[in-house]
Amino acid sequence: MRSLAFMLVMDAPMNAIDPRVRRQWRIEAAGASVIAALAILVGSLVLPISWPARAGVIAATVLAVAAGLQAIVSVRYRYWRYGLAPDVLILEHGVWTRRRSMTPYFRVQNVDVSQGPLERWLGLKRLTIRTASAFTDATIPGLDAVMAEQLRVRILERAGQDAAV
Amino acid sequence: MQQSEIPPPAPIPPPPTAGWRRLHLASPILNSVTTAARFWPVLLIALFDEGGGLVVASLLGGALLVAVAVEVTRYLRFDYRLDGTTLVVRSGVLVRRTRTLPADRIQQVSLNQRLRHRLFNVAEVLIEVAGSGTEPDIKLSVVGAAEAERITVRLQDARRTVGATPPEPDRVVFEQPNDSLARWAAFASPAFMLPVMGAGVGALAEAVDLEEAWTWLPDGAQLWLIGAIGIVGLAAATAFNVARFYDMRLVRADDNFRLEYGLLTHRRLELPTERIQALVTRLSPAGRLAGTVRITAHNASSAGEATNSYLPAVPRSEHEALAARLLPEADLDLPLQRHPRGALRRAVLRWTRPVALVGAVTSVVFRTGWAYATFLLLPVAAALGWRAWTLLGHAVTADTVVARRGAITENLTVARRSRIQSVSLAANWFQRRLALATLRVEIAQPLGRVSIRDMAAADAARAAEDLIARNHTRVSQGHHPERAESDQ
Repeated sequence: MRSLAFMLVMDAPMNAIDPRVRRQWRIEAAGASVIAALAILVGSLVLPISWPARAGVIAATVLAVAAGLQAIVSVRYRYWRYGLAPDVLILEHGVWTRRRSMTPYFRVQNVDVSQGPLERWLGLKRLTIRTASAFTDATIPGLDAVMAEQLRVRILERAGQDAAV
Repeated sequence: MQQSEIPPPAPIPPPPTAGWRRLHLASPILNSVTTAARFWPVLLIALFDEGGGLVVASLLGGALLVAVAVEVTRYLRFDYRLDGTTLVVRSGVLVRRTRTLPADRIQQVSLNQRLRHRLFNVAEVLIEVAGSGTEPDIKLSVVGAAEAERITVRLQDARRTVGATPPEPDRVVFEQPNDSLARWAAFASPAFMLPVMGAGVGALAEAVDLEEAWTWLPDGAQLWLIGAIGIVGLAAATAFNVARFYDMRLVRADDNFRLEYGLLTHRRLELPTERIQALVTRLSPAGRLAGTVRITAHNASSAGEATNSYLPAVPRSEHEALAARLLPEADLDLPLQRHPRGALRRAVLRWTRPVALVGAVTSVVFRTGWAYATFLLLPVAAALGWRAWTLLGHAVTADTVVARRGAITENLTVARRSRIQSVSLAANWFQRRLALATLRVEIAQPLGRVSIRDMAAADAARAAEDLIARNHTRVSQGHHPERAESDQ
């Protein structure tokens, strides 16, 4: 993986998220494509074109959107990394805009582990760390359910007792 | 086997009943009026409805009755007590809620006394902790003025007990000069006046047939009328701004800052010095004309600007000294590191792109001289882009992170390093091509974050790691310059 090579890297091994998350993202992308198809269908009703032409436009657009979204899923997965440095949680992600965020454990206010229906089916969980800033970027998607619980415990162990604000 | 005698269970002590206090008796009346006032759109619709007199009366009466019933019930189910170093509040009609707030967690205490409050000699006390949301965490609406004073002092004393800081005599740190306030209010008012005048004209158009009245006026009088409305609007908006911030004083009281202001509505904000997370100075075009700077001291409560300490019109000659008093680590004269040439390219593009887009669309759609003339704004946009780049700068010191940005309005943010929650770096495709990155330093709400846009990527990465690593070491070793300062 080409990491954020232009940036210095903190001394922490970076881990990939669970590959099953790609299936979750693909299904979500397919859902988004269906919604896009419906929106295009409604929008095309105002255009004075024949039904075969309309069907062609919709099919072509939906195929393009779906192909684009599916391609993005692979790239998005490739760039998602997280690492637990001794004092800091590090996340790296993003396709167009690459982000690298660092959150010290002692700033953690609480840790949420959540699981939607798709994630439940795939045996995945999402872990969110909250600090006093709503802008803190600290959600790790696509974690194996057991790993998510282990991570939660490890982060809370390191969170300490500071006032955090 | 010898059986040991089991002592009888100790009786469970009844919940303490002493010390619980109710809100002021005027509370249901005043709060009912406030609640009923929320129904004004209904009243407005009914007023303009033909033959709506009866409807208006019944609507207003019904709304008042409901409001009074709700507020009386709330009053009866609300009490509070100051218990040592904690404030306990019991509230709720159907769901009872008891909130316990340790004094050392308080970010800010505000005391509001509106005109209607002064009739009953009462005041509102708003207490905010970190992440209060859009509303204050605890709102005592309303208590007697003397009781409000007592609560403020008791909470201050309780905080001192918790933090063990010695008391200090009060001293005035800043007094708002009336001339600079009036100048700022006059220059800042047009922006405020336009929407107010728009709403007024809209309401007038509903009430009378403006078109007919307009043709009835003699030639030339229309222009005078517009001018007169403008002058009256400007004077009203200026008077409103002056009245709002009238007699502003910032007092250092012990380890608190106390900000007092207002002619009709008296406001008093108590802000613990060590709770200040960041300071933002803002030099707007109105401020430039008036020779004033706006200074905002942000803490970690997020109940909005209305309750954050903000001084709108500090004379430019005094603002650096005042900033240093509010945040001793802040040095506004600090030389800032400029950003690379790639940032200039992006700044110019950021300003010229929308103008070019609007110009292209209007030219294609309208094909008129005016549409093509939009492109004449391109050099102005480019100049603003250049200006944005010249203002772009940052500095990372031992105790603060400083970021400057803006083009028309200049913003300088100084954030305490000891208050940093997290740090992130972001670079989109264009930035990566130019070896640039945006460094974001996240702090508690309401400011939320300080963004340093388009730094050299290597500098941004070094700064991010330094901020996180040293911040952690210093804070975990108990280095809090703000606490040290307040202990002095």
